[in-house]
Amino acid sequence: MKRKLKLLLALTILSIVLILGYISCRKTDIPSATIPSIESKFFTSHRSADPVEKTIVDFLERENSKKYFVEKTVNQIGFPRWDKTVKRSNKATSVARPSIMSVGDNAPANTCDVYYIPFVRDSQNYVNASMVIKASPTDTSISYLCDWQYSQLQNNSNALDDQAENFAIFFMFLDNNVFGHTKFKITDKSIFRANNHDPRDITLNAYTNSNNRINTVNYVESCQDVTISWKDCPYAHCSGVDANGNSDGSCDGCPLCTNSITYTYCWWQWIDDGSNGGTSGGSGTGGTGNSGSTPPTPCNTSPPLVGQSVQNSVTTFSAADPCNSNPGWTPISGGPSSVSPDPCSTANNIAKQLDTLYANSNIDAKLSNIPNLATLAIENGFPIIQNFSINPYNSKDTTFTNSYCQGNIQTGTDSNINISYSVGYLNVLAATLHTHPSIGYAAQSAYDIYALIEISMQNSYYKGGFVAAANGSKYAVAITDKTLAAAFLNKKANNLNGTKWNENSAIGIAYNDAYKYYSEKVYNGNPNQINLAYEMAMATTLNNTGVTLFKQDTNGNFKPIVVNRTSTIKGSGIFKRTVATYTQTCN
Amino acid sequence: MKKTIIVLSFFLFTHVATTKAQVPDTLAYLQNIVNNKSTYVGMPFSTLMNNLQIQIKFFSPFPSLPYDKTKETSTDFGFYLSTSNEDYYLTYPRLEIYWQTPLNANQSYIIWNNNNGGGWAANAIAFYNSAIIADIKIRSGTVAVE
Repeated sequence: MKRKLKLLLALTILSIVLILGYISCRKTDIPSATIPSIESKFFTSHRSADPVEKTIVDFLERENSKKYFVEKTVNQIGFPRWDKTVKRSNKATSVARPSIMSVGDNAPANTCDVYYIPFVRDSQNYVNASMVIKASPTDTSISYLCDWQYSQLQNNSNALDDQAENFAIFFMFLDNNVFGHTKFKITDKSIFRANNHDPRDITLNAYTNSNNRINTVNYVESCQDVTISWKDCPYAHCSGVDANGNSDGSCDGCPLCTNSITYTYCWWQWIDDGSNGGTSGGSGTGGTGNSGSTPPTPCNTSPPLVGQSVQNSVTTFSAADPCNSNPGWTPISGGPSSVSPDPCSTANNIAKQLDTLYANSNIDAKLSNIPNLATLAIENGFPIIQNFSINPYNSKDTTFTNSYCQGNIQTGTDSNINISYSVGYLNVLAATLHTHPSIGYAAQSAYDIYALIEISMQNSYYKGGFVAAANGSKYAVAITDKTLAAAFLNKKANNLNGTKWNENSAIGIAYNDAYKYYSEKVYNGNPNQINLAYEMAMATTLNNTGVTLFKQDTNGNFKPIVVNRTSTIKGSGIFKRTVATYTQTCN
Repeated sequence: MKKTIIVLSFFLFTHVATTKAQVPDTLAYLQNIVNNKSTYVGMPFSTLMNNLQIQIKFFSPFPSLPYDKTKETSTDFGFYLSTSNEDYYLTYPRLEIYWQTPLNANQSYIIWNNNNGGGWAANAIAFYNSAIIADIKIRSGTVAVE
């Protein structure tokens, strides 16, 4: 009996063990077969074959086995994109340049390799944080930068080169690197403000590198060209929604209500080309430093970022909600506002129209009737009239012909000419031409630019204004963007001083700087130095005004002169300057 | 030997006479001149030049009138000679002098070209010495937001 009881007890225990074993196995096996653990996903997703990346990940796995920071980190900022890591090497020591990468550094920036690993939450499609790994030969540390931390940084509410803005551009750069976003709506109006105008959006225009190769490491200057757009409604109060479909107060997003500038943020970094068998990154993985730390939160009192300023920091966003963890910008993926016609394509099409007009109206023949054009001391000019026809059976059906005629040659002063004209039945004013004496500059004056816009606003058939210079050069100016030209016309009183640009206005200053750049650096020693510098400076100032300057080439074709002026931060300390750089486009 | 000493002494003397002490912050120094421009307005350029504690390195004429490019209405004076496009920004800040009577830009550009792109030499000094100052500004070279 006793033996039977023992056997029954043993069978019962065995059954319980088997049942428990089955249940426990079922509990663990099912999840592990279908859902990877947070830690596994953290260390295995978005990986590349980069050996440096492997070194970093291996180091972090060892750290996590001791400090268990991964789960909390994921809950706060999501998962890493190892394959989009950005590196800055210690060899940047010799470079004294403003660096947005230095934001948040608590150690000397030039003593270690620094890796920026972007983090993305599963529910979001933008980079919200970056793990910052600093690896020196003796130590490795981990810290974090979160996008909301821009609000703790120094910010002058009417300047573009503050730490808050640099920090924001850095995150947009990371976001572009991961997701390809190129345009960001600015939701915090206290950053990227200028002239008390609320910012609208930032467009990342280009990513240019200038490489200087030293040993096996590429020395790279990374520059991010951005276009900063503001709300600027000095002319009319529009209403409605903006180009992104959002209510925008009194501004409907039309060019009359907006303004923009191209700006360049630059920093240095070194990129290993792999030929030396990997970089030194991660070599100090035995250190401790701040390893294992988790990201800060908006409400805690963790140590501030380097450069954090109590005064003059971003206020509107953080003051309204100190615990707000949202950044002051959000990516816009495309949309109507990001689609704009190619200005070069527009300018080249108009150039062809000018060629046709010039040839069909026999302007050269008329010019030959002006004696001593090369030595004339006063301006001469004439109107060019185009004929059109009307369908006798439909008065609204009009056809413009290639038939032109010129008005009489008129004379002005040494500095000006008013060309009068009268148009008859089936005639419109298509263009005007005037001469420039040799004592003056060859290309159009600021006064000529505004005359063009004013005539074009009154007469939609007016195609442009030609100038025949005493030195034989021929130029044309034409409207290539009516909306921009209308806005530019509204600034006439501020921009124009007699026949020249107002030297105290922004456009006058830009013209002055461009003239000196071209006369001193580009056309130094050229026998036509002054005229060439003038035309390029004029083309530079006309950028984004809706007016384009054209010059006739040796084949008799008008070519647009479009100069893109961008702002670049150069130098450091007292030599730090936001200076203009000039690039001719539409060639 | 005696001749060598005399020549060396002469060289040292002239070198000291033409070399100015440099200022720690060019922009701040130029701003101070602009703040006290009433001292120089209406005076010949030589008055300002002789008081400068910083050595002029180059000049850059600016004929601003579209209808008469022979009239040099203002001139930039710089304190760093650029050698490439990369360091061109260092030619700023500059002192911009407006003239009561515009100067002859044809002449100044001849001097500019003869002096390897505006180098500040004796013929340039002679050209600008007696020009009367109408206004003084700083050209910072920084970009203004329109």
